[in-house]
Amino acid sequence: MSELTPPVAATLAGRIYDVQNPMLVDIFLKLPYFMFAKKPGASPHSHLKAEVGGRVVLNFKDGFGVCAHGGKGYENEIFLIFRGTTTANKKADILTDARIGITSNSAGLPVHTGFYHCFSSMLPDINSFFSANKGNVKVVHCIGHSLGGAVASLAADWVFRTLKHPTKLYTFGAPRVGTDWFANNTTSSLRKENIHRVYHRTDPVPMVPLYPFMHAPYHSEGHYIYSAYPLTSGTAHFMSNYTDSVKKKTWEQLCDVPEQPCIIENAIEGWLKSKSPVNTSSATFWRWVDSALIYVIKKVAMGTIMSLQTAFVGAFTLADKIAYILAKGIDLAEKISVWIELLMRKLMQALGMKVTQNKKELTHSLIRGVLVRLTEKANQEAQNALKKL
Amino acid sequence: MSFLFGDEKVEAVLFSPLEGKITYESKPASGAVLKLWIAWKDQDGETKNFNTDENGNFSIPIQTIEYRSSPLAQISIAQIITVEYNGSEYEIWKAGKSSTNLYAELGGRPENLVCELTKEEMDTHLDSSLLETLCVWTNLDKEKD
Repeated sequence: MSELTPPVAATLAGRIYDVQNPMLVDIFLKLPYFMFAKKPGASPHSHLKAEVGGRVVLNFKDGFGVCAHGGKGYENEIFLIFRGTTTANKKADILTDARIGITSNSAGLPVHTGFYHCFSSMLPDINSFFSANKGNVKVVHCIGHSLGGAVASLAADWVFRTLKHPTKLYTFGAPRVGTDWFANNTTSSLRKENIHRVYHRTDPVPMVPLYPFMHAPYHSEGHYIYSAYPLTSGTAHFMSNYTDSVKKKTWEQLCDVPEQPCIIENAIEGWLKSKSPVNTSSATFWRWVDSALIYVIKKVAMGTIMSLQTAFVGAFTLADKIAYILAKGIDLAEKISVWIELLMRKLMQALGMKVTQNKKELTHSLIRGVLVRLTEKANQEAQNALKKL
Repeated sequence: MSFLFGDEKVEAVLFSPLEGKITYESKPASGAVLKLWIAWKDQDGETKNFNTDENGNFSIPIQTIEYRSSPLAQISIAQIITVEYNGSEYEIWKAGKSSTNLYAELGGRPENLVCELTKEEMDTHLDSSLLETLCVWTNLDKEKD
């Protein structure tokens, strides 16, 4: 099965941003990868329009992705390319980004409400594109940067599950799309080797939303690229910087090893116990927070025989749910509750809050307050534009 | 707050300077009106008019804006030039780009640019942006001004 090289995937994820206006799609499809390049006017390219925005506040429509047939060298291959947020649809998109709720996708797996809404608004068009296609499909390439990468992930999962076409996914600086269960499930259906997740060390976007959102491929570091841009500048997120990073590289060459894998239990316990100062503007801090949250929540779940999937799906916000789980854990045996205490202290310290000394002070509402501030901080790092609107 | 990114105001070139000649059946089209439409912050965009002189020559100066650059919202710019001449309209330039650099449309400054209104098909230029145009030129000056 043919695979796009990193420079080709990055070119497509980047060039889709040139399509400011639907009338430019025809020129985009003249790029050498597509069928349009050799037979003008002959191919059934369909242009996707997405509803980007809140259900109530904004019903903003903008060109958001392109379905296209591969041209010379890419015969019988299909491209689904999605665009991230642009200056023209910023307000609408940020609402989408900020709606960090959980919804079940068509397979019943928990995914991000905003990303899923964006994807489902495009689904009828994607569906009719495939219905109109009579030819043999060798492979479907799903590609996107940022929000476009999130939508591409949902599209890849849908294409493989529903149409059973061989599917490959390529994302750059994409946020987390679904929970633990979605990430695990989509990894086993698409298979790890067909998922190319590229991210810079200091790109804040792939760090959100926090747990229980997880990346696919599951239990894999993906294509980690070392970057020295400060986390707080967000510079590492620009598509042009991804294009530079993958220039002339193969997938095998795009595998820097992340520092300190935070998945080792001893390491997490060590971090929770350590007294060293923590800093929310460091990329490493967010890696630790995420791992520590997973670690502590799983401890509580084991102690209470709680089904985490059930606990997370529902009407309340994530901070509410995690606070509920952790508050339950405080009442459990010392060997469990001590980890919640350590985690909360660490978070309060990082957030510049007064640190509690006593377990009894850790009420549900205090825990909830800390988690709300933590979530706000994480989103602030990644989505500060929200604050300006 | 200092850690908030996206606060940086930067200059973006929405349209790089373009000068040349409009011809109709190879003769200078004097008194033609070039309507330059640019859209970036929405799809409605804005239009500016430029006139050709008695020799059909025109000169569109650089169009820039200052905007708040945010890694979360990529700038994307559309440009269309239509020419009004003798009661008819001709589309001579249609482009989309996501780079804010000078001459990002073509990767250089086109020299001796001529746009023949009766030319049947637009040429496609994809190296640097998505561009279709009736205009032709002799050389691209890659030295940035």
